[in-house]
Parts: sequence; structure tokens; C-alpha cells
Amino acid sequence: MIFEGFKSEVGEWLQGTGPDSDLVISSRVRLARNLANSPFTSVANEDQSRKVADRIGVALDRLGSGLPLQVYPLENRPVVERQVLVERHLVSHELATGEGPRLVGFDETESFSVMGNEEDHLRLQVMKSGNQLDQAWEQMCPLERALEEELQFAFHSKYGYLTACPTNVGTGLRASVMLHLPALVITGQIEQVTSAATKIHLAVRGLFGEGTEAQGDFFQISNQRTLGLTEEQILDNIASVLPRIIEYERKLREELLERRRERIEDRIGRAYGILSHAHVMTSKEALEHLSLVRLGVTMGLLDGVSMTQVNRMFLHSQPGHLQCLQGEPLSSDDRDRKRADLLRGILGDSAG
Amino acid sequence: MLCEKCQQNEVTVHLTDIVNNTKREYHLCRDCARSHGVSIKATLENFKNLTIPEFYSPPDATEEESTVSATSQDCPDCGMTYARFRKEGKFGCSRDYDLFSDSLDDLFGKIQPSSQHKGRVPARFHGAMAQNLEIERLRQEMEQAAIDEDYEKAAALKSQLKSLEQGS
Repeated sequence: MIFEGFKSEVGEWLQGTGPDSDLVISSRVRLARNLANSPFTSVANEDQSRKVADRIGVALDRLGSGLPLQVYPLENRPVVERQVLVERHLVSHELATGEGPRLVGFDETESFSVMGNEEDHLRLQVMKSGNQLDQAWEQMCPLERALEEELQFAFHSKYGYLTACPTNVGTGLRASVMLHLPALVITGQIEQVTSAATKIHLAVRGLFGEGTEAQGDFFQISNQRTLGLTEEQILDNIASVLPRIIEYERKLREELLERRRERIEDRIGRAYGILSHAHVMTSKEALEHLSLVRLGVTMGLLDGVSMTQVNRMFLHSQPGHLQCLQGEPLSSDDRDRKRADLLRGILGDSAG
Repeated sequence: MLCEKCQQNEVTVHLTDIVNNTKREYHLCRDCARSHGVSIKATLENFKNLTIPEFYSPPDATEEESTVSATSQDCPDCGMTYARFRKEGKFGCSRDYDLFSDSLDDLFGKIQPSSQHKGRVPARFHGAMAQNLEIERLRQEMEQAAIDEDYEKAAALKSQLKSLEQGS
């Protein structure tokens, strides 16, 4: 089972450490690359895709001498295992549910991951906990260089790195930060942030990126433009707006404490009460309560709970993890019961 | 069954229109369907795959579209056509970028700040990119010389450019 192959309970991005980790959950950089002289994944036939996957596999093996990677083919893997990989942000939903020869590789800290035969032949990703976009990029550069030496990437002197989708062409870089912004949501200011970000060509999305709604006050901010800018300009654009969002959220949290302390303590306390005592819980409900509990922990309003517990609940209560921990596929109703059991169990560690 | 409009030709199109919750059925021949504004494509192809604007695209636009796809070249490597690329929004292989390059500046203009890559370059392209930049620099200098009416300088730059471009 892939699940047993994980070194830690949660991956690097959910460690809850790093700068500004009270509200910047994680930072991620992703590069899209294609092998020169091979058709892109969507039009490649089985044979061509197999060759691409094999070449990537070999290149990753060589890379492995400097960075030990576990590499798995994804076809024929059980649905639940693929779901676990999506929940840990190691593969995209598209790769998990796709067809044909596909692979995933990641290091034991789950900081670096590689997807083979996604929409592009290669998707390289570095994730860090907290506000560490530059550090993630620094870590990415030598890895990309090493792979470039093994595999010739499709490149055009005008358009840069060629990708299947015009929204990735050029640098192939998608940089994103995942933010927890409950105070901005509670006070109804989040729209301002969203529209300001959109104005400077940044996209605001939900927890799992493209096509997902924001849930539990978690937002992902990423660049939309990839061509005609240097990688540094793309990263700087996000870095320029981030401190203002962080400052805004922190200011609102302070104001909430000053003006509506009882109200906010009550909401957090109730969320904690439900998480630690409920017997049936959907993942959507869990996420909403977890958001408030997380807020309580970062504001020092919930003494008995640690960020480690919050992050474990956050990840392990998701459907794939829940079923993997249970060791069997569960119906939706069963999941809601087991989820509540799991949350009670994790919080029971501290509640005694 | 005869077309309800012209009462002459056999019905080939059965159309249900729902406008403001009022349902109206039409039974038309091909020609009358066209004049009703239904794309002929819808009657010929599997119209389930057509989007609503495509379904209602006026016949003229359909014909125009078919001329466009006939003139733009299909990719010999991956078989991608320009029409399919515009519909699905995905390239099939690297070669498509050159085949469709005439239309790409327009498309990229909508989603990207510029269509000239400014980011990192693979080691094997370092020479070529450096030369591209040099060519671009000389071209600008030549244009400036022409504007300044320094034709001697412009001619010298032109021959320099020519030899650079031939060398590449």
C-alpha cells in the first residue's frame, strides 16, 4: 500500500512550520515540461506514452543518486491510493484519474514530486511549509537542470518551453501559496483581496487548485501569466501582494479579538466541541470546524490543541486517507462515521 | 412529412426551441432550417458535441469556418487542426506552435503579457538565444538608422544582419 510508504503522517507542506505559518500553510512551485520530439500526452498513443514514461523513469533513477525518489506507475493502482496521493498534493486530480502509462515520483519528505504523462510529459513540483516560495524555487532549479541534462525538453526560441496548454507556455511556471484567511472571510473582506489579486493577474482558487471552490477559508493564490515574464518576475508578483494580505488578515484577527472576543471564542469553542464529540461528520463540515480550530490555535485561544493535531485531522479526515487508514473502501455514510471517530481519536490524545 | 415552412421539401430537421419557458417545435427542411438560423453543421454532424453558439451559428459563419480550416495546415506530426486546437484549447505537439504561429500572437495577447519568452533557457539553446537577441538588437539599430536617414549605416547593418541570419 502506498500509504505505508509515507515516512511521516503528513507531507512537508503540512508540517505547520516556516515563516508566517499562522496563515500561510504552504508554498509551491510547479514547472511544466515536455520531451522534445514526442507528441503531447493528449494525442500520444499508448506506445508513445509508454516510451515517454520509460524515459522519465530512467532519468529519475539517475537523479535518484542525489535525491532518493520513490517512483510508482499509476495505472492499475487502486482508486483509494490514487486519491491519497491527490490529497497529499503529490499528484493532480487529472493524473490520478487519467488513462495510459502515468507515473509519480516523490522524495521521502514529500517536498519534491514528479508527475509523468500528465497534461504535459513532466510536471515537477516543490512544496514547502509556510511562506517559502523563493526557497521552493531555489530547490527546484538544480532538479530541473539535472533532468534537462537527461531529457531534452521541447523549447522554442520565441515561445520558450512548449506546453500542451497555452496558459503554461514560456516558463511553464505556476507558483502558488495556500492561505488560511478566516478573519477576512468572517468580516466579509475577502472579496477585496480576491479582486486585488485578480487585477495583478493572479488567480484565487480553492484547496485543491484549478476548478475547486474555496472551502473552510482556505485559498490558493497563483500566477496566471507564464510567457513574457522571467521566473523571478512571476515569483516577485506574488511576493509583492502576499505581505499585504498577511498584514490585513492579522490586523482583522486582532480586531476580532478586541471587539468580538466572546463571539469568536464561542465559535471556536463550539467547533472544537463538535470535532471532539460528534459521531457523524461530512468532510465539508469537518473542514469548516477545522478552519475555526486552526484559527483558535494560532490565536492562542485553544490551549489543549497543537498545530500538529490540526494538520493531521485536516489530511487524515479526507476520503482517501480515511479509507486507507481503515484498510478498506467505505461507503459515504461509513466514511462520515469513521471520520468522526478519527477526529475524536486525534483530539482525545489531548483532551484525555 | 413536408417542411412546415416551405411545404415543398421533406423534413430533415426536428427542432425544439424553449424560449422563456415556452416550448415550440419546428419541422423543417434543410434549407429552411438554415434560414431559421440553425447551423447546417448541426444536421450533418453529431450535434450533441456542438456548443449552443456553434449550433446557432449562422450558415455564413459555418462556411467561413470551413474555408479557414481548409487553408490552415493540419499538423503532419500529430494531426492537430487549427479548428480543433481552438475548440479544445490544447496543442498536440511542439510543431503546432510553428504551424499556428500566425494566430498565436493574438491568442497569447489575451492571456499573456507578451509572446516573447523571457525566462530561463536550456543550455543547448544558449547560443541560439544569444544570437536571437543580437539579431533583434541589430534590427532595431538598422531601423533607427533608417529613421535617422543614415542609409550608409543602415546598409552596413543590413548586410551584417544577413550574414548572421544565414549563418544560423
